[in-house]
Amino acid sequence: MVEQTQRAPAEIRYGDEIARLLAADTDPKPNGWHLSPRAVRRFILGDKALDVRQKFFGDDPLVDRCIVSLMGHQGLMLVGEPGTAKSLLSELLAAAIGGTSKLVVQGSAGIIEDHLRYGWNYALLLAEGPSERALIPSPILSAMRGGQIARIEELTRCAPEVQDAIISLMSEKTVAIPELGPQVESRAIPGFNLIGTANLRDRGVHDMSSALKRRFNFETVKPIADAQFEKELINRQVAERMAENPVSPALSPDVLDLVVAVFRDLRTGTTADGASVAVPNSVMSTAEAVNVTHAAALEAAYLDNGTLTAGHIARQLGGTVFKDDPEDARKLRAYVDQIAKPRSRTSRTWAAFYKSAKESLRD
Amino acid sequence: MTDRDTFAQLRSDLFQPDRGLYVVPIRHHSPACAWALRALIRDIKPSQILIEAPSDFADKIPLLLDPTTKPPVALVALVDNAGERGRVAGYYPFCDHSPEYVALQTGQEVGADLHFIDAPAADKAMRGQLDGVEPTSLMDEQRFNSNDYTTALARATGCRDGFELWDHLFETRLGNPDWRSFFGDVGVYCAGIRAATPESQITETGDTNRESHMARAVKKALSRGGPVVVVVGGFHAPALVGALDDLPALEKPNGKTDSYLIRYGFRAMDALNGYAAGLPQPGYYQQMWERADIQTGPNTWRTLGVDILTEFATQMRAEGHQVPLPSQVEAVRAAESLAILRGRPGALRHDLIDGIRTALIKGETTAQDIWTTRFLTFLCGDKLGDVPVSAGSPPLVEDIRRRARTYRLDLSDSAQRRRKLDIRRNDTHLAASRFFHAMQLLCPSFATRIVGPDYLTGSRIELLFEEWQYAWSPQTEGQLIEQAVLGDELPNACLALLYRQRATLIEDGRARDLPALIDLLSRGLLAGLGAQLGPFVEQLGNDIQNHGTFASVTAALRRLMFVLQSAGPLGAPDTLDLRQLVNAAYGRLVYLCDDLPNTSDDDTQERLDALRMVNEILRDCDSIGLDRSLLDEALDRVAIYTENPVILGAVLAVCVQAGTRPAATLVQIMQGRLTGVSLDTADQIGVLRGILYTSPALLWYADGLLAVVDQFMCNIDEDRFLDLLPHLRLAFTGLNPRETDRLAGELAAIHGVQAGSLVTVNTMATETDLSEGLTIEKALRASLLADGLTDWITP
Repeated sequence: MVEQTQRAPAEIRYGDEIARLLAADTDPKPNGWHLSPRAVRRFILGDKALDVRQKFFGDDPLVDRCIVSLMGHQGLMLVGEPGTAKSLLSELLAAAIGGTSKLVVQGSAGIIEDHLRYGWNYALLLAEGPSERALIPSPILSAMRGGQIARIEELTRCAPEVQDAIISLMSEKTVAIPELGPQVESRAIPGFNLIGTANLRDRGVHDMSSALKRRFNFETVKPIADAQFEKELINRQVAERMAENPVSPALSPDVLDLVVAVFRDLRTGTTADGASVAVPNSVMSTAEAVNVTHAAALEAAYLDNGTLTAGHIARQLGGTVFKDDPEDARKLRAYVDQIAKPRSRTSRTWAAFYKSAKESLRD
Repeated sequence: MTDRDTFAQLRSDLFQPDRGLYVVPIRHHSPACAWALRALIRDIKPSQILIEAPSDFADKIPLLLDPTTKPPVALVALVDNAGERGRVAGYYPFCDHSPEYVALQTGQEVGADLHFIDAPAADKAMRGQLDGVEPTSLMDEQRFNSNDYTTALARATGCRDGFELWDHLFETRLGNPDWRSFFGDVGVYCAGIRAATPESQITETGDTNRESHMARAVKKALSRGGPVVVVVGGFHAPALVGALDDLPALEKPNGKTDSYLIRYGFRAMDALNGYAAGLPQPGYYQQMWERADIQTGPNTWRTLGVDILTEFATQMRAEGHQVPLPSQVEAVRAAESLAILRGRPGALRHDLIDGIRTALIKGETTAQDIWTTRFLTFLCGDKLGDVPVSAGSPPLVEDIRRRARTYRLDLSDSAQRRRKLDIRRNDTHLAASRFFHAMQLLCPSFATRIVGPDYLTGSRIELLFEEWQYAWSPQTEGQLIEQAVLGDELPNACLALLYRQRATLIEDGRARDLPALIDLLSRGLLAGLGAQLGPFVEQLGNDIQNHGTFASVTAALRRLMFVLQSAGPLGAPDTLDLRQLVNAAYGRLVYLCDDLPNTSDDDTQERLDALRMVNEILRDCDSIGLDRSLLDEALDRVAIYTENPVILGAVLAVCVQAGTRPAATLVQIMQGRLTGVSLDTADQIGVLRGILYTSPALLWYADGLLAVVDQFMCNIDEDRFLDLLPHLRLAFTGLNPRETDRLAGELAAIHGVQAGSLVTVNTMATETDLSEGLTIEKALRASLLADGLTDWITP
């Protein structure tokens, strides 16, 4: 039976590419690295000669800087809005440098220090007492032992005390295991490093202490700069999501244009014709644009007459993106009044958007 | 012939010792080219050196070689009658590491004849490459950066653009004595760029004509006897290595050109390079050049990178920005590792910039982060050059003299003169007034306005005449020479100065000082900069859009509306989009209305003043084409939530006056406030104060309002009245004498009496009172004198 997974890790998905790069790799490798830095670069940015596809677009120097950061003592912290492929980049880097992208801690409020150090198999612990066999290493400890890259996703969602534990792991590069005897510890072998991803804008996250910040080099992954490319991406992703539904309203080019314009205006703070716009705290990423369009399509399909209009977009924008921040509601109102209103005079799509946005703001 | 063959052929054609011809392909301001070129000239010892610079600059060669000339300097060509565009200025800058400058110096050292061989400056002007608005370069190098060949090669080598590619391929070879292979490679690189450029484009941009010009000069030089070294932009090299027969006819430029040598600066050079040519951030390349120069050998890249990053950190610390030592070390490590990853002998400019980014930024970055910006400014450098006295007056001074002549102002001596101008009815006088205003900006000692409207303070703007006193002193000329780097003409120099003043404001932490910024805009308008202020207006729009203070934005909007409606001296041309700016301010005001409900006591008076202005703004909305309903709606919305009673009163009054709320609301709220029991005294009178301050007339126009207040006053007892008195006084000071009189009349009518009879305090004193008073004063004085307290009574 062929085992099916929704999504295989990068080292499996691109296993053949890594193998080809490895075979052709003649450049010097830092201690413990699976591929040389140049081969890592080629893995991520593509190499026609070896038939390696480009996997990360838009900012080549950023990739260089990430690779170089991981060669040093500092960890790498990828920040930026959601939906900017931070996790993908961290997965690719881990797979290419350490050979595995599976050593990952998913940051959340439920993470405790044990998840970063080690835990125990309690049945074995009771039966045999503390032993290497009863020890369950954390992904970070495993990475230290194997000289690989560990990843911590959404680091700012971890409680401050857990973040503090990372500080000492990063500076000492060792985990003491006193249960196994005095002075028993696992020291990181060459090749070990940490990649964190974090969202600095969401609310409900814990700010990083400056001590922690000092141990990481920060790289900001930017949203897609090219409007046309973003439009295609939204169109494709909405189509993929709607494919699961029996009824699927068509996304007209006008409405798609409007979605891209609204999100870009509010994200960048400037409209295409140069008028400035107050930027909301809510995340106006491509991922959110897909969410809004998807929700609007569902509303049109199941709760309305089946035609997706800009009115649906406006209503979903209020619910999906602008959730409960009064300051953001104010910024959206300013946008609707000052940008959408004049546009509504010449465009039917914008008129529908304006009308329904105005209504939902009144509630 | 394949491209490969063409390239090989070119490589062997560049240097033809048998013909005595050495064609040297260079990139402007490239230290590596300058270094190799110097080695070449010293080896070859040519009898002539031909340089690709406009031939009409030839008379400036001795000035350039003058020992007191210190780069950066620039040759400026002012071209009159350049097609449709009138007069334009083109710049040809030189710095220490410019190959052209090095060629002149080394040429003089080996005793070669020096010639400039490009088509005259006017030729370029005719082609429409100079547009006269921005400073324009006479060097053409866009192709180094935006060309299919460079883009593809950058992609293949992992460089982000043509600049990084150039550094990667060529600057890394600075100090390499093998000039033959170096220039061979530059030649092939440039031939690649040329091969990817359509032939039609080469003709259109005038390159064919220029190359024909240069080819003639080369042919002539060869006939005089070699060896001849020809220093040209790499793009043109392939056109000059051939037989030089059958050259196309020359097109004659019809523009008239004046040229000048002026002192120049790295900042100006960097800005110029942004538009057209050379390598950016000249300070960085200067460092590179100096090092190679001192060692007269290969550059030690490691020290260069470490030194630059160290100097940067030191400078930042001196300016008060923290650079922790570990971050500094990490920056060096990152830059060097990047250089290794990218296959370079040491950290180059982009590696250093990336290193700074990696090490110093702790957090999310926006479009242009502060550390990168600081580092780029640092790399740009701020060196200023010097020119010999014999270089004469710079173009700016000439331009000002010319303009003064047009307005019949006598600058022949330094005597003080006066000039009266009819600024409203006579266009020539208005233009002269603009000239004076512009000069006031650039050189305040030149002229002062004795009489006339002051548009900055808004005083006496009804005046029709201005009178100026002016004198052209040696200091005036000295000041203007200092300012010459700002531009070649009065308007663009003024504009540059406005930007500089704006930058100073920002540096002083006054980026949010809207009155100061609008002052600058008004000065620009008075100086007649008109449409040229476009970018300035745009930036001001952004400043307003990001401003968070209700009162400041209101005041700014009021002033901008005044400017927009102005004709005459402050009037802006239609081509300047002030409307967009007013729209931005209006939008921001509407947005900030939502702050009104939470007004602290400290902000009350400021916002009260602003709300009075909002009344005027609402009145003028329609005539200016602003969507009045937005502001009406916003005020109506916030009226409900406002807690601060003074602001509540003011907002309601504005709403009632605007007709969005009925007067009854106001009566009801006032009644509630006055008769409520749990409120403190100030709150009780607050609403009344707000109304009286913004729209006092409502007191008698809004039905029932006065009655409520009057009833309240009649019902309170003496003690309560004394409690309230200070607050009442504060509230009623908002009225002017005419309004007080009107109020008294209305009250008298309610109570059925004469207004005069309401005055119960008798202020008349009798003769006896006066004499008693004088006696007491006398006694008091004597007593104080006796106690030695005279100070108490002497003012």
